[in-house]
Amino acid sequence: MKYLIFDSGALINFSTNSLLNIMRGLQKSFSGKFLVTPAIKHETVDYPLKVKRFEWGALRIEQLFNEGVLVQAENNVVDANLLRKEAQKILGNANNMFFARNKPVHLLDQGEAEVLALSKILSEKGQENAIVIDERTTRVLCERPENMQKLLQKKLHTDVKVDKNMFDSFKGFNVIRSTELAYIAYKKGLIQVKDKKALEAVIYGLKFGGCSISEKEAQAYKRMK
Amino acid sequence: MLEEVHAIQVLEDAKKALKQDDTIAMKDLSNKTIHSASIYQDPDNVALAVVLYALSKLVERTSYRKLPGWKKFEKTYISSIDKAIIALKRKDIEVYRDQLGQVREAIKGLSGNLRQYVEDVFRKASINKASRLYEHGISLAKTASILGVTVWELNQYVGQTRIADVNLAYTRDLNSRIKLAERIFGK
Repeated sequence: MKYLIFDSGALINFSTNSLLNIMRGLQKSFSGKFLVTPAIKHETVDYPLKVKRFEWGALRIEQLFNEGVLVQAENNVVDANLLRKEAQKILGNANNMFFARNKPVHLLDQGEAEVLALSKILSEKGQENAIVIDERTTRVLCERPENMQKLLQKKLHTDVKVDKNMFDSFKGFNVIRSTELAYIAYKKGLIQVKDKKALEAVIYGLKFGGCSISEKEAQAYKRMK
Repeated sequence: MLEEVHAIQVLEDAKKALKQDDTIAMKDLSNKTIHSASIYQDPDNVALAVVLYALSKLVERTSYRKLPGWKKFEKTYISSIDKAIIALKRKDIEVYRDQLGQVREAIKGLSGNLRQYVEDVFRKASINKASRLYEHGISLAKTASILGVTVWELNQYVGQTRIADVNLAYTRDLNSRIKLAERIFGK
């Protein structure tokens, strides 16, 4: 059994780009489950259902839960208390890793911490998984934490100290973005618009919808057809 | 944690900038405040950054000045900035907060189109400042929660920026990331 763990940004991006249908196709071809943690469900469904502007997008994501395309992780594949506990640990580590003006810079929120916590718990059980995350901070923290120090230093115009011992707790995560999923969907013929520009258009739609993919990478997708 | 001396200077400079309709200076002042807001993530710095940015946008739109209610609104925010400076000099943070809050409260006294415009400017100012925090390295969800905006609106806003193009955001070769995705979807 494999698992794909979704952060809110990727789900929202698929919803606003009318691409949730590819999730259905991808799930069918996936030998595993698409998982969502409690905070992510709150950000993508429960809260936006109360905001008229986002209600339709949230309803469409909720439909994926109703169809079983998306599965709530807690008490399904992981104990809710264990997930909460692990998320708190990750949050504590992430938010006490970088220091500016002698204050810890709080980088992550509950949702991102839960995504990482779930991935960590599953990996420790030997279960293959990846996280789908469009936002930049969590990805940089997992893949190049030293870049985060440089970025903070550059942007805050102040010296940023780092507790490098914390780097280890962010190692070993498999990170992909909504754009990689869209590419897989394209290769599997799941994108229904049959136009030679379809892949490029989808990648740019996701980029402008908030996926942290550079212009250079988006251009590279064009050449991959 | 609000650094009073810094905040006093920012507000004094904002007063001058407002008098001269210098919206660029107002935006710069808001951006300066966002550095502190990124570190301390406190409501005082965040509110100051949002108010300064929103005022810069409002002053920029000179057509609003002709709308009924503008004069009163203008008086309120100028007076609130003055009182906020005095409060900070006395180290009275409660009064400072109250005065900054008065600027937003004054929106409720507006009516018709102007009220809608001003509310819209403040909302967009919050989203803009949220995107700046995200640019500074704070995660999207954390930023949304600090500014009281939704991940939905912030996601779309940051997609229109060049934040993803910063070299330091490049963390893994695209081909290897695609291979990872293909491996996950393999049998």
